[in-house]
Amino acid sequence: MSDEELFKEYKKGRRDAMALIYERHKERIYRLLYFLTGSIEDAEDLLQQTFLKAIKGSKKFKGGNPYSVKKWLTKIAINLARDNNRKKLLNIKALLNLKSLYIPEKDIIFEKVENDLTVERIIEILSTLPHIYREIISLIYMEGFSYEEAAELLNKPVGTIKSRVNYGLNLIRKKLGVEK
Amino acid sequence: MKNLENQLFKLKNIKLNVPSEIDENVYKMIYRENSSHFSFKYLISGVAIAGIILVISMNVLTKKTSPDPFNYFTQKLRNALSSKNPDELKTLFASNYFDEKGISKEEFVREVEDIFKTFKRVEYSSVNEEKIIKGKKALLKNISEVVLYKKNQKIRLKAIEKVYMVYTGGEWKVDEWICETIRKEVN
Repeated sequence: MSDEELFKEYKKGRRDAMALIYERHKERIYRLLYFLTGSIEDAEDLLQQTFLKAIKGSKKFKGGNPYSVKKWLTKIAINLARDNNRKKLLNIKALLNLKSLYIPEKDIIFEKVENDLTVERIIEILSTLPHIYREIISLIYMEGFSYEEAAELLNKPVGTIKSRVNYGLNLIRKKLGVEK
Repeated sequence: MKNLENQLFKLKNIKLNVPSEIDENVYKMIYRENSSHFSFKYLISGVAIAGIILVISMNVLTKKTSPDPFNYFTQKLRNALSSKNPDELKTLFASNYFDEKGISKEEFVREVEDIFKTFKRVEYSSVNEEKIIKGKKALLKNISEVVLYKKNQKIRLKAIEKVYMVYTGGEWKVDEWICETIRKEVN
């Protein structure tokens, strides 16, 4: 059963349908929030808030493309992460240095990476990027959204998304000390 | 570093396990939200019907003086609290009591709802001490607004202290810091 079908069932009163949606998306949303906030505690808190908002807003959500459940939940999570970071009034560097973006080794599984560029190193670099670039790179590469979908999620033209991705990649390259 | 984008795609392989207590909280929300919507509607209807019957009985049949509204409310409150069911408290707050006393029911209910939301936020942020303090401050602000909103402050103060007790895990333990600060606000 697709997310959209589950959502329809939930609206009909089947509460376990929302529980299934949660099970399908919780790890993805949690990981995204972790990347966007740089804090496990905040990611945990915002994951709950994401679903609280989804439950509260379920009557307004009509579903169906292009407003898929996945995009809807992602959009809620992005907005919460933005609010969270804004409220903290911390600059990105202070918020997202490696110390605050600690990786709980026991709970995290990495795939082996090539050469000397480890995923840890990529995370470290990503964490130093300004929020808008971290956001778009997370959506495109980590979440697998297309440029068009990311544009829709962030309410920006596709051209802006592409240029942000390029700029973000260049920033990463610069931090890695390599040329394009 | 031509493979940078390929490497970035590997971020998909990072798996973070959601702590079980978060799962529990979300499940509680999923089941509580639906069930509370359902029960709340019916409870409100029930209270409205009971209220009408009560008014008719009192005015038409007995013609006696109404009981002290404060005592009546306190008794109702005690009953609701003894059930330790937040829905009953909400129903009580949503009853006609405040309208009868010339106080906007909607406004009071809205304030109480806000307080409930704050409680939720405090509960969900229990892993973060800084957030608890922040939540408490927000809670205090809401409570102060309710308490100071109009008259009957003592009754409201008492009620809200009790609500807080219910929401601190059903234990009958008052957070002294909050209550003392409310008292200062009231005085």
